[in-house]
Amino acid sequence: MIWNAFAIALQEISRNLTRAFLTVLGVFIGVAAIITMVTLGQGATLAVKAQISNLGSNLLALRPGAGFGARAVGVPNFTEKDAEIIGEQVAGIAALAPVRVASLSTIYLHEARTSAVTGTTPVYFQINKWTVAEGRFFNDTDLRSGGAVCVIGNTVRTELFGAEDPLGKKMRIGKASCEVIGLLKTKGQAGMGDQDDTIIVPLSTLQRRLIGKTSSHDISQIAISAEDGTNAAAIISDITSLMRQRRNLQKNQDNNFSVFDTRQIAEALGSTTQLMTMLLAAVAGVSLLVGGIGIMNIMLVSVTERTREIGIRLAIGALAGEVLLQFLVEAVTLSCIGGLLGILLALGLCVGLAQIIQVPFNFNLQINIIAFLFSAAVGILFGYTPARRAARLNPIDALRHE
Amino acid sequence: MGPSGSGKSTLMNILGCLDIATTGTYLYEGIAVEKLDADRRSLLRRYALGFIFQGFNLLARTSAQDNVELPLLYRGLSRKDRHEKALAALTSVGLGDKLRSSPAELSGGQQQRVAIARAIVTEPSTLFADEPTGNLDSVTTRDVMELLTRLNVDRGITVLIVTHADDVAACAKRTVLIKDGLIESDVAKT
Repeated sequence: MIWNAFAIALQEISRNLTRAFLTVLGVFIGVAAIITMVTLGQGATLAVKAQISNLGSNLLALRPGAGFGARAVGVPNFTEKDAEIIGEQVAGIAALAPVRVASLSTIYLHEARTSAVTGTTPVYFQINKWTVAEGRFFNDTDLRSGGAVCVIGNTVRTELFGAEDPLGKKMRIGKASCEVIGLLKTKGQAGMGDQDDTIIVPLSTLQRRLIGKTSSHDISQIAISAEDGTNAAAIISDITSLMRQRRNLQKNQDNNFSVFDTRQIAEALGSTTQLMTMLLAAVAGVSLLVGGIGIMNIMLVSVTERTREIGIRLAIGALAGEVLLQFLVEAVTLSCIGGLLGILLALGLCVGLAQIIQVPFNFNLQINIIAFLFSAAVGILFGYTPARRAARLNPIDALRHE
Repeated sequence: MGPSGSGKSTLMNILGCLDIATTGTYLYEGIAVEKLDADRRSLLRRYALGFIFQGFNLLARTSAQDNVELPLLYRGLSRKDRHEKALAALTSVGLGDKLRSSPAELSGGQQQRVAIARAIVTEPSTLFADEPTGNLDSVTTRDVMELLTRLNVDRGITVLIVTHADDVAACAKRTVLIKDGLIESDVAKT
């Protein structure tokens, strides 16, 4: 009987395709909106989460200037001595690395580009959770001798070396030529930009060979990883008072440096994206509900319009339940068609939009199933009232209906 | 038969288990119909009774074949059986070549014959016809009446006809005259 009802429903729907399309439009758009919002939102959240894990769980960063914005004029960088003293005097620090970043031209054979070159100490790899895909990191010997070696990220490798194996090759960075000794395992695109577009060299190499003469205040950042289970806030306040002292700040002067707890920032960012996703999905849910009301409208009109038909069916011997089923199946079929179309539209939207707003696209089977079931539920919910009205008709009255 | 408003259609609706009398009882093969619920009465109609209406009451935008198959659908017959029986019924009313035509494409007489095919496709024991020729001209009226007479003679189906046309009544073996809700005469042809 359910198959009969289904066949009758399809027949009814195909009789008036324009009306059917307008009926399902609401559900169609609602389902597409929900899936798109949730999928893209989850992509964004995933991107942020990937960043959190790539950043390292207890990562602090000391930077000159107050806050995120542009640095005020005359705010000095740090010195290697600053890094050393923080390491000695602040408790709870597992590792720290002075970092100097310079934008330098890089050349390999005929390929040339400008890359961000990071000069640092070997412990930096550990702090920032880098791993090598091939080759090795530089070590303390390289650091002491200022060896002409570099470790490159995957983007640099593809841009400069193409299909060639970069290991052991010499590339020009700034003023000198360096041997590629290691290839970093890719971290991928993240909200903060391409993390793989990087060249890491020993700090001494950057200072002496690649740039040339430098001042002692040339450290643009100090990367710090805290020991597990320590209180990040306590470390931040220790570093702050130490640095105020070292930078000779008076009591009435503001900090001209800041300490970022990258994990906190990332987590805040992550929960914000998640909240946004939920909000957007809720808005999309409302549109699905409105779509359901549209179905109810059309079904109620349809019952009135087809009262005589219902009368004929009842006179011929249809049971009230069968008439109910017929109209219910029709409503559910309509809303399911809307749901399926919505899934298709959402798929296209997700693929397109994910590229435009640069978030990873992960096909989320769960939300597709949920949205589809939701659309079916909308059909049942809003199809029931009209269907029951049809089933309750008295055959005589229905037959007399004009 | 009887004049308008005499209660003949109401009587037919009660006999056809479409309606229930406000007072009194109606026994169909020993069953008190007014004591059955709507679904039981539906089942009674589905398996034992056939209906023909003055306004034909075919499903619009539905082919003759699908219209005739409708009661079989509710009986749960297979697609193949439905096709066969519908074809046989439509052929017996002389519309074997109009299977795919929708009611709008058929004349009044043809529509009524489709309705008859739909009523007899289930092989009912009784056929209720409420003013079956009310919307037809005299030529098609004769066709339809011949068809109904043949059903009665050849297949032994009891045919109950409500009409106020004398020529239609003349085809019947027994004529009950109703006036103001009361039976005035009940004459059987010899």
